Amino acid sequence: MKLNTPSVKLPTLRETIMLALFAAIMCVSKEVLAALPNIELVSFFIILLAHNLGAKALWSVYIFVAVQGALYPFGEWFISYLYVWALLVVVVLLVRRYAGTVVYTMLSTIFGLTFGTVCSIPSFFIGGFGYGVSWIIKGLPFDIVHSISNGIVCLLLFTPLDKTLKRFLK
Amino acid sequence: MQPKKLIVILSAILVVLLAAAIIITNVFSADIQKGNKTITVTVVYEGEAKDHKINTNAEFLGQAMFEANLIEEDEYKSGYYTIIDGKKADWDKNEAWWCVFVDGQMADCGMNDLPIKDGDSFEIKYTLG
Repeated sequence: MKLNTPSVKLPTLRETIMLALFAAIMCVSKEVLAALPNIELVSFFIILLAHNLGAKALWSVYIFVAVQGALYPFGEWFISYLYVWALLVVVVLLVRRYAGTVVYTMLSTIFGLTFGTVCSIPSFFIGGFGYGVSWIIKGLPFDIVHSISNGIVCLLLFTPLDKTLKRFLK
Repeated sequence: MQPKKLIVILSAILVVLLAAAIIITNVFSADIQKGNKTITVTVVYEGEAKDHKINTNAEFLGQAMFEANLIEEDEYKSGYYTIIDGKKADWDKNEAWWCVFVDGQMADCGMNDLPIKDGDSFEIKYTLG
């Protein structure tokens, strides 16, 4: 599988507008859906951006992470946030040449299912092996909900929003 | 790589991960007992032990103690306890905290995640340092 080389060019004006807009949308969507545990649109928006803009999607990712860091007290969660969303961008970069709605729906579902495990990595360093493992096990029911909701969101929204984004970026 | 091949690989990964998640969740929730049960919670504070017999439908110790008014609502929601049965353990003042014991062994998770069964006994001890 050929690795897509991340772009080193700065975003164009249109791309900058889109990246800033999506960073804001990710922050707002997280707050709006806060009452529904493990249902989020952030992963979907990151997939959409990375599919269309490649590595430039990391701009939106880290604006989102910075805003979360400003809104909420520092904790283990912040350390996970520094890498987990970027990891999703990297995975999308690997497959975007071949991927469409079905592939992204599956990727999104897998991401939701493994989200807790990937985020638990700092726990192993902070509390030891037992703490990390119990963190993963306790989070599994939530990860299952997360994966199902991610899959449904991507299946329904990827095609229409991808078309809209491509039209704007032309 | 062809998209079809990618879909097959992702499908296989998804099925394996989902099966593993469901199996692990079921195995580790096997301890949860539904229905009415009676448990004993002994609160030990500065050498004095007080027994509380709780009759409950709760599945976890935190919920049972909240229903028995032994813990405060905001602490129940956060899962971080400083006040048990009206007595406060102040870590900032004298490094005091509440230690939960199950059958004489220190619990390996918080009260909100500790499953309870009929006849169980718990000790919650005021501890320094």
